[in-house]
Amino acid sequence: MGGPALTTLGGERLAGRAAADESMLTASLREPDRFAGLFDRYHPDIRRYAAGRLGGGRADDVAADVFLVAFRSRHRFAAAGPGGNVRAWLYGIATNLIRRHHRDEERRYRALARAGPGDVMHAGEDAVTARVAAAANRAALGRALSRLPAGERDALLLVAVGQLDYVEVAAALGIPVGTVGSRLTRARKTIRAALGGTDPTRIDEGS
Amino acid sequence: MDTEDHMIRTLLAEPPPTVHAASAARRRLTDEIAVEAAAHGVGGAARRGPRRAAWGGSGRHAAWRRWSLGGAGLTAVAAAALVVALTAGQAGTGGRPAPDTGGGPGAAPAGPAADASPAELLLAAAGTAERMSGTGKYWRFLSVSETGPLRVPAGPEPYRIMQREASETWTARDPGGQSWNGEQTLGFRPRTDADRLAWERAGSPKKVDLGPADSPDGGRVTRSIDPQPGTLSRSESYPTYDSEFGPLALAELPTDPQALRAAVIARVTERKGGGGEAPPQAALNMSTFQLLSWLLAKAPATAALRSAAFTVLSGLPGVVNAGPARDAADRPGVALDLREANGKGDGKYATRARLILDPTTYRLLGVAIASGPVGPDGDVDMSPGTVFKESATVILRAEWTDEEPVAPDLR
Repeated sequence: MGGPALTTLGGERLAGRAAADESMLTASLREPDRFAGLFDRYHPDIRRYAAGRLGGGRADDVAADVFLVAFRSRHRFAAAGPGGNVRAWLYGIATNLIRRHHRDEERRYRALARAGPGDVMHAGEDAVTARVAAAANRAALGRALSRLPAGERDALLLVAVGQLDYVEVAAALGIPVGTVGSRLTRARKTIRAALGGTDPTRIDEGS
Repeated sequence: MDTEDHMIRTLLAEPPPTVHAASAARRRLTDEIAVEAAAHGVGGAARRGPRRAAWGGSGRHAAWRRWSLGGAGLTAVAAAALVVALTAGQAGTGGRPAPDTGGGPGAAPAGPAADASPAELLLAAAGTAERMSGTGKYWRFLSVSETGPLRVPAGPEPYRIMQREASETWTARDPGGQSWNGEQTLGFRPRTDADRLAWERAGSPKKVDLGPADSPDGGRVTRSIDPQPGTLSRSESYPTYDSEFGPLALAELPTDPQALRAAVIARVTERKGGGGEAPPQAALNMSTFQLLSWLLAKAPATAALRSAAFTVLSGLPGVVNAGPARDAADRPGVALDLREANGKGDGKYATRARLILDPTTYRLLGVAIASGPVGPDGDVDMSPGTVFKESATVILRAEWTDEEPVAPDLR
């Protein structure tokens, strides 16, 4: 959660937002109820991330716990000095809590690998291309995800599902940015190998 | 690499949380905030202690507990009024979980805590039920029941499965309107995580073999794991609930708690007692608990009847708060239990009836009953290898709606 994180945030996420988060958190040190504003801002995202990894039922509990843990430890976040990234910190807490349920997580991926076509919910925003490719490669993806080492899986899913950038992933996991890069490279190599080394977008070009 | 990320995001996408789940999550935070605000004397007074405190009694509710325990004859309306007064920040609208948009400590709920006495929690449930009014053409009530377990003798690693069925009623608000009844056979599921792993190691069979059929023709008993399609059919507007104690016409049950209790006792005595003679008190209490809790979980009773049923339950002796528990749909709640030694073997066998409430909204999540040998902890022993019976029902929907009836479609 170092200072430099703020200025190097990725394009669409404004530094202004991060600063607003931080000031809300700082205000909550004296006026605890201000913390509810962070819940309203980030609970949907955190829950989506947790649901991606654990399914809806467990995610309800985990996402609720994230904000309790964050509320209780907000003094420590503030003590680390200005420029901290609240969003990345929340994802970091979520990731720690999710790890406690790794058996459920791996079971979920195995179940996805077994599920027949059409069994999986699709997010509306996703492109048809990705949807078709995902359906075709579900089994391979599910198996690959269930076998990824925990550190690589955390980095990959913070980017793919949480849509964090490298600097935020580094802040969330408390590791150097360079390590994020190498974990992602390895994880993507595994995923690509599982998909048979093909470019998944090719799959529906013929249809 | 963006494409891969997209595929992963798509593969893992889940529907958003229910309004209920999201508001429960927010309430947990605002409770916590209220506790801290109170401790530091800032931001308004918290109205109650930490929900996640130890499950032992706190003494905080002692006066109210004494009072309400003596209030078995309290009318549902009086109980509801009390609860409404206590939960001012939380009262729902339209019978649905409150969206709880109010921020800050002022919005923290103030009903009995999860460690409160069964009577307090049941009276709070009566209050919640009383407020289940709303607009909409139909009262939609969906429950899923599980019974079992069946033991699958799969070689060296047997596992247990539970049979599941969904039942949904769409009761027309207009007494002359058409009501509907949905049913769906949901197949079977492995009973616990350990059973699921054993089932997976057996190759995740879609059809399980329970062994040779007890028939001169031979053959084997098999069960299909997968759910079947649901059905929807017309039904009467005033449904009859087929209870263990015979059919009950819901519209004929009194909504005054005293009268309801008398009606239940009369029915139980008629069915269970010999020649109209009342059964022993413990058996009568257990039967009353079962009849009313299962009625609440399985029948589309009106708000007034539900409220009266909870009020009668709150006056029943022997019910204990058994602490946090999950219902058959794996939702967290607080368990209120009634146990009875069933006399088969010097207290070595027992029946445990359970009712699980959401400790923040006091809505009924589900009910369960188990009977079998008593384990070392004094509870019914449900470990692998023991022979016991279990049955549970969870309420998945209870709401007024303008939606048109459809057949249940669960997985």
